[in-house]
Amino acid sequence: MTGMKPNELMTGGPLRNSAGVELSLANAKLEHENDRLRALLIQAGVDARHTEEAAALASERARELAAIVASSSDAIISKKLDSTITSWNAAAERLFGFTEEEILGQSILRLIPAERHSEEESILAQISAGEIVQAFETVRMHKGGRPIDVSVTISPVRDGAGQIVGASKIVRDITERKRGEEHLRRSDEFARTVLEASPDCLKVIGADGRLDYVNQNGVCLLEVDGPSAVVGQPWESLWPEASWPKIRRAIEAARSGKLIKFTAEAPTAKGTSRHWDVSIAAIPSQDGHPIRFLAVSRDVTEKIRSEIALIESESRFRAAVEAVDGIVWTNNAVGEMTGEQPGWSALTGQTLAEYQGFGWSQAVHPEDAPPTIEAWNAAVAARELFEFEHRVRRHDGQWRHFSVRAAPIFDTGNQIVEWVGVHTDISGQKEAAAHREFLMRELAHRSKNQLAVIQGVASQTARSAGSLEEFRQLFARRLQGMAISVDLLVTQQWDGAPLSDLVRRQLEPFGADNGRLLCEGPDVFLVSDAAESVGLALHELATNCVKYGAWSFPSGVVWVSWTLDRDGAQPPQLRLRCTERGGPAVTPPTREGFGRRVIERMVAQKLGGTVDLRFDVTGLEWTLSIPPTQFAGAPPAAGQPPFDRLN
Amino acid sequence: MSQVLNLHAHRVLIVEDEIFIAADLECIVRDAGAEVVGPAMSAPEALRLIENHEITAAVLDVRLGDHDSLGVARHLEAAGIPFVFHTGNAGSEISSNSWPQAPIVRKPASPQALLAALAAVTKK
Repeated sequence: MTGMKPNELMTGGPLRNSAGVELSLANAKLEHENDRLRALLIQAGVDARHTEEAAALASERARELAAIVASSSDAIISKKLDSTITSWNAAAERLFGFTEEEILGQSILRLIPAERHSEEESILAQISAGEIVQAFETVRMHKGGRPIDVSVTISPVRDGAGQIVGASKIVRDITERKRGEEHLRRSDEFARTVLEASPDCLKVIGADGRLDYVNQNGVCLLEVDGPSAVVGQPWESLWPEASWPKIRRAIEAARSGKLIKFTAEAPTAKGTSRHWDVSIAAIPSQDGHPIRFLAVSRDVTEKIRSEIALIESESRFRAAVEAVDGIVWTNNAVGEMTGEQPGWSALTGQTLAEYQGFGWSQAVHPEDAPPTIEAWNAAVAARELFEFEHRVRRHDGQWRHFSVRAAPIFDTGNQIVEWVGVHTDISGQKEAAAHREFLMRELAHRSKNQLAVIQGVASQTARSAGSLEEFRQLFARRLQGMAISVDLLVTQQWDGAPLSDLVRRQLEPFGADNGRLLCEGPDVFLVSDAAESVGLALHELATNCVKYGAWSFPSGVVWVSWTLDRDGAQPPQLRLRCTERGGPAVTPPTREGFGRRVIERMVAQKLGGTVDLRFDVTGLEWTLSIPPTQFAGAPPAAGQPPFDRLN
Repeated sequence: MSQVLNLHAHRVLIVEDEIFIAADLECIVRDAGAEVVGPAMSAPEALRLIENHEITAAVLDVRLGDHDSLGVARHLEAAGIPFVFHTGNAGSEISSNSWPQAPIVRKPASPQALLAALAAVTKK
C-alpha cells in the first residue's frame, strides 16, 4: 500500500478483520448516524484488499474518509497501546477542549477522571485481547476539568502484520441524552410520587379498558390485597353492572379529549358501600403508545353520608318546628332577638323593630318580664338550657301562659352560634290544672259531706232501731236506697232522674211484685236534688209500709200516681201521691221518728213544696206537691230534631 | 260522755240542707236541752226563721245547694247572735279571719265537738 492509507489515519497500519483479512477501518464498530461513514470505510477496505490497481482510488477514498473523520460530529481518537494519543479530530477538540497540537502525544488519561483511570487498564486489556469495547457509557473530562457524559466505542487497531498496536475510539457526547434521561427519570419519579401521594384512587386504564396501574391508596380504598388484584382487570369489573353504561360513556367522552366527571356508588372488594366522585381524562398517545386514561376516584362516602345526614337533620328540624305545639324563635349568640321571627311576630303582633334585641320583653307581662330577663341572661351566661314560664300578651291583647324552653346551638369550636327557643301556650293546661285542683277540693268537700250524711243515717237509724240487728238492716237499706238514687243520677250525667224510674227502683226491693205496686203518671224528669229527696221519701214510705202498712199484709197494695196540676194562672206543680190499701187498719203513730219527719216535713222543706199526710184507717195517704223548679217534662228523645228544623 | 253540755234556755237555729245531717243535728241539739229552730234548708228560710224566733245561737252549714249561708252569717253577726260553722269544706269560702268569733266544726264531727263549740260561743 502506498500513499496515505485509511488505516494510517488512525494507527499507521491497515485494519484487518478477525480472520486477519485487511479491512482497513471496515470492522470499526460505528454506530448510529455514522452508518454512512461505516459504509464508506467498508467500501474503501474492500477496495484496498482486492485491487492493488485501485490504490489510487483507495487513496482518494482515504482522503474522503479523512474528510469524513474530520467532519464527524463524534470525537474520533486513536491511541497507541501505551495510551499515547495519535490522532484527534475536530469533534474531539470541540468535545474535550484540547487542540490537536496540545493533545497529540499526550496520554489518553488526560481525558479520564482520576477515579476512572482504572477503566483504561481494563479497556486496554480488552483491546489487547482483540475485543471491541461496545458503546460503553462513562464519564470523561474536559480540558477545563468539567466531566462529560460520553459513550465510547473502542476497537483494536492492528498493523500490517495483524499485530494490535493501538485502539481507535469513537467518543460521543451523551450529556444531552443523559440530561434528558435524568429529566425523564425525575419526571417519572415525580409523577409516581404524585400518584402515590394522592389520597384518591388513581388508575391508569389502557386503550383496552383494562387497568395498567393503580396507586397504593387506590389499593386501600378498593380494599384489595395489592395492585395485582386489579391491574389487568377491566375497569368496569370494579363497578356494579348497573354502572357499566355510565363507565363506557365516560371513557368514550374522555377519548375525545374531554375531562369527564361523574358520581356513582360501588362497593369495595370487601363489600363496603362507597360513593365515588370520578374524573377521567385521556392521556394523549405519544411515542407510538396508544391512548390511555387516567381515572381519579375520590371516596365521597362520608361526604355524601354527612350531606344526607344534614338533609335529614334539616328536615327533622323542619318537621319538629311543624310538629311543635308552639312557636319557634331564634336569638343570636349573646341572647338578643334579631332578624325575622315570623312565629313571635304572629303570636304577639310585634314588628321586627319592636322585638329587636330585648324588645320582645315588652310583650311579656310586666310582672314576669324582669325575672324572665334575669333568668335569660343567666342561661346565656351559663350556656345552659333555658326553661321558664311567663305570660305573653297575644296579638289580640289576651294574656296567655307560656312555657319557654331555649337551647344554645354550638359550633364545632364549642362556641354558641345562636339560641333556638320554643314558646308553648300552656294556658289550657293551666286552666285544666286549676280545674283539677277545684275538682279535688270539691271531691274532698263532698266526701266529707257524704261521710257526715252517713253519720247522720247511722245516728238516726240508731235512735229508732230496737236492736243491733234491726239497726244493721235499716242502716244497710237506707244506704242502698241512697245508692239507687245515685245510680239513676249517674246514668243521666247527674242532671236528674225520670220519676217513674225512681219510683220503681226505690220500691221494687221491698217486694212490690205481683201487682202490689201500681204506678201511674206522665213523663216527669226530676232535677237531681228532687230525685235524691223524693227517693229518700219513697224509701222511708216503703220501710214503714213493709213494717206497719199495706205491704205487711199479703193482699196490700201501694198505688203511686202523679199529676201536673195547674192552679189557676200558677205554673204547674207536681203532685205525687202514695196511697196504701189492703193493709191493717191504720192508727196514727204516737212518736215522730226519723222516717215520719222526712216524709212529713223535710223533703217538702228541702224542695220548697208541701206535704199532706193522712193516716186514713183504710191506709196511709201521702201527697207531695213540689214547684216546677224541681222538675221538667221528660227530656226529648235523643236525636229528635227540633221543630224549626222540620220547617 | 264526760262533759255535760247544757244548752237549756237556748233557741238554736239549724241551717243544713242535707236531710240526714239536719235530722241528726236536730236530735243532738234538742238532746242537749235546747229548743231547735228549723232546720232551715235554704238561706231565705233561715232568715225568715230568724225574723220570727228569738234565737240565741245557730249552726250554719256553709254551702246550701248552689248558694251559701254567708249572708245568714252576716245577719247573725250584725244581730250579735253567736254561731258556729259546720262544714265539710277546708275553708275556701270562710276563714277564721273573716269570722274570728265563729268556730269552724268540720264535717263529719262528733256530737260532742259540735256541742262544745256551741257551748263556747253561747258563754261569751
